[in-house]
Amino acid sequence: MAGGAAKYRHLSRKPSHRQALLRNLVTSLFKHESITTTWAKAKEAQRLAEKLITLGKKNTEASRKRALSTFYTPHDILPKLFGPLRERYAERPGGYTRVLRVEPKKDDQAASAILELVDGPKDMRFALTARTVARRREQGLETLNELTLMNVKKVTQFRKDGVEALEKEISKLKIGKERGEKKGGPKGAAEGEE
Amino acid sequence: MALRLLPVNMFSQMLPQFLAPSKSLSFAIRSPSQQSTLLSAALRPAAFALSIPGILADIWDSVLRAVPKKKTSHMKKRHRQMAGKALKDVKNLNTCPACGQIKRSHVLCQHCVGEIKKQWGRKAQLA
Repeated sequence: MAGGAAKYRHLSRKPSHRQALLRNLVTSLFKHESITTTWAKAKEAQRLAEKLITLGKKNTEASRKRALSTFYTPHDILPKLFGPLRERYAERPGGYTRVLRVEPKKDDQAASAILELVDGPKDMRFALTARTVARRREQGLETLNELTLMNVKKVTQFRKDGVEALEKEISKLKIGKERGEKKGGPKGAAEGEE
Repeated sequence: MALRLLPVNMFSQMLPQFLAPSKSLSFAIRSPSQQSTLLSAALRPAAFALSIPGILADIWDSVLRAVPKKKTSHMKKRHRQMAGKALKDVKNLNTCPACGQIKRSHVLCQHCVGEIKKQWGRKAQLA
């Protein structure tokens, strides 16, 4: 094929526009820990984000300069990147971000995805795994299927006190559900009286 | 011969100035062949115009008349162009392990993602 295989997605933009877009996406990602965008943009932003976290882990003068020139709001994000994020990913050998497909958000039905920082406060896979395990226990089944076991491993492997954190999340879900039932109870009773 | 001469007479009436020298020429030589060439020259425009429709008639029947009788309607055109482009059925479905609702495989459950995001929003409001 003419031109050969593309090394990266051009995203139908000229290089400067593409670079600006990726800088914007990455700035938002580090600010909010999780962003929802189209799948192709998420995959491209993921590349840049992984490189930036590697810079954070290197923690040298040169890496600071590189990071400073990438973010649009470096003064908000650099302390985070060279502080909590560096500590969070110290043990993890790469794979700091995750792209999860979700139902299309844009009205052109373009494939959408969530790009998130792994083990962060907005880790969607962590939350979903907690929900899955909670539901299984609710049904009285302690055994988990292969996929859920793999997800549990992914979610807890490098997280600080990963297993405890997951258990805490599961118990929170249970409490939340009980509360919801209590809230729902009186309402239902009131309707019954009428 | 009389038939041939008749147009000449008509021609002479129409163009007396032009015919005057030719008349004198024909009188001088008196050759019937010369007269016939003169006649054909005089009749050429009329003969040319008559012969063309004869040639055209054949093409007219075979090629030129093969055109659509009606403009293709919008509906017909759209049906033709959209043929084979209908939406496909979604068959890659399974149940969400976290809520039990049906979801597309390899895609997160819409319901669960919405619930979790709502929770995060509540948490952010409290904080």
